[in-house]
Amino acid sequence: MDFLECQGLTKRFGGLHAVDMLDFRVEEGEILGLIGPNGAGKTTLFNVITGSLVPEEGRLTFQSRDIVGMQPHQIAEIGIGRTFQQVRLFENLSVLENVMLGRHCRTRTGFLGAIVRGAKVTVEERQTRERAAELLEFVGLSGRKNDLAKNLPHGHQRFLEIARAMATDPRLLLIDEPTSGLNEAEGQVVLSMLRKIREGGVTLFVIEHHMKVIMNLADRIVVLNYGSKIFEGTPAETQQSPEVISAYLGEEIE
Amino acid sequence: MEVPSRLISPSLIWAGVGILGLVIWPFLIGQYWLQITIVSGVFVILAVSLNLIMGIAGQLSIAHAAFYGIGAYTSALLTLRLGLSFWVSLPLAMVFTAFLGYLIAIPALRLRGHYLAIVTLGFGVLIYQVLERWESMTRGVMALTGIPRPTPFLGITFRTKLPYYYLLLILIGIVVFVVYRIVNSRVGLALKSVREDEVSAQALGVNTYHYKVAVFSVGTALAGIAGGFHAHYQRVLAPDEFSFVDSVRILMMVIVGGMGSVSGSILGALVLIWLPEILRAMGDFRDLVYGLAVILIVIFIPGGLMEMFRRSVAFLQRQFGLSASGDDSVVRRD
Repeated sequence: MDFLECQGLTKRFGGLHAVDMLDFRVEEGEILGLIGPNGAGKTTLFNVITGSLVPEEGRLTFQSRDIVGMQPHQIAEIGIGRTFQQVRLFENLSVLENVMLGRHCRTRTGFLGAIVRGAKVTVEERQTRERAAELLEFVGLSGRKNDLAKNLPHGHQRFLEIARAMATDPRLLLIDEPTSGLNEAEGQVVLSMLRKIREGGVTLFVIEHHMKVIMNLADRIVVLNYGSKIFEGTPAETQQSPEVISAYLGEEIE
Repeated sequence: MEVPSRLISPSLIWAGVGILGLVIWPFLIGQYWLQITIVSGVFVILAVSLNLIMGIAGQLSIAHAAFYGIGAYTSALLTLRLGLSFWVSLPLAMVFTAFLGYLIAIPALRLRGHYLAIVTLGFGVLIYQVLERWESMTRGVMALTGIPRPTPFLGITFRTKLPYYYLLLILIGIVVFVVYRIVNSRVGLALKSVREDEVSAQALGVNTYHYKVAVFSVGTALAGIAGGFHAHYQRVLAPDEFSFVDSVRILMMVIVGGMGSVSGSILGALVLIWLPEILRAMGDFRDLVYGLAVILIVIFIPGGLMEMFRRSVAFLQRQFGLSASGDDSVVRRD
């Protein structure tokens, strides 16, 4: 079965083709890297996949299901999670509450249920708390669960965003620049988290600026430039590709 | 930290004392202050319900007094024109107000921030004009009079202020309970996520539009209850109680009390109704001092009165080495 597949995908902003006739697929279980110079359309592609932007043309299927035109919250429900390039937490909520919100699409309590608060509701709430606590343990933030998210240092905020996205039980996780703004040590922590997440059976699609990082992490890499795919292959092949090197003109690929 | 196990928790004792206090309160004050108490009680419902829309879900509405008015006129007209009993007209007024809230929410909540504020402002003005101009129905500025008292209920007649006070107490109890339960639930978290960051909320599966429309309907329904009670208590309705200025007044209560805090909204409503009465002794300076007090609160305690209260308690505990229940890590409850 096809996992995530896109064919002839095009997203235009006025005359600008941010994503241009793009064909590629994400295979289940892999870590696929997405690289390209600034403005190549990487984040736009993420926004199209997650339903924040609607493409003008092309097909986009997830597990053989057409997902073009679905709302972002529906995309989360069918198992595609995401993190953001600039961390977007619920700043005035606690660390625990941030992760609990990730459980939203897997829980049911409505207005009436909340008011009556029957046995089902309390059980669901306890399960939500437990799952959130587990995920905080996983990213090493158990000790700060009652702090407001905005009071965490930047590195911890990235960890928290990953825990929150994982709380939605994604099949596919889109990660936008996981190491941006992190120091060397924090970057290593994030990378080992991502590997563990993949071992847990979640497919990863990762945008990353640091070449060294993505070459180490990804099984395959897709390279975008001006919204088009200019190369696709293993990290080793990517490093040798003349097209990729010329797209990054001046930027060194180690 | 040793906390002796108790059968009755301290919070249960405090709640009991509080309820007892509220029950005997009318016997400690005269008729004049009982009147002020009832008026402030109506505004407690309004502030708590607006806080749900504005403080919790982050949707600025400058039309709350209009929904209050819709509830009041609906209940009054149902009893006057159709001869329904108050006990039927009150829930009907609530449902009708929620329905209008829902109708305005569908287009308005596609907008954000200032634009949403302007649409609700326009709606408030529109309702005011309808109440004032549709004289054949509302009698306009001549006021709608002769609104009947609630029919006797379980032998209780509504001839004095006292039964009204207890009825209002029950209504406030229900409203606060409902809002508190919503706020501290999965739904409450979802509403707060809408306030904090809609894009993130959607990425986690929160249908933000659904929640905005729903919270607007619930919040306006509760304003409808306040209106229904008010109509049959005061028994005279004129449009000028439900104007833009009154919407702003409710808004101020929420802000002064502390956005997003249920207890803060209660406190905000009480303070903003009682303060002018207490300041009455100052004569002409009253409005000046009142306005100044509100400005000072907003500037120096942006978290609101409840935040100030919490901080003072924490400060006193530190000064006297009391750590009360002793657990600072308890998750903050609104």
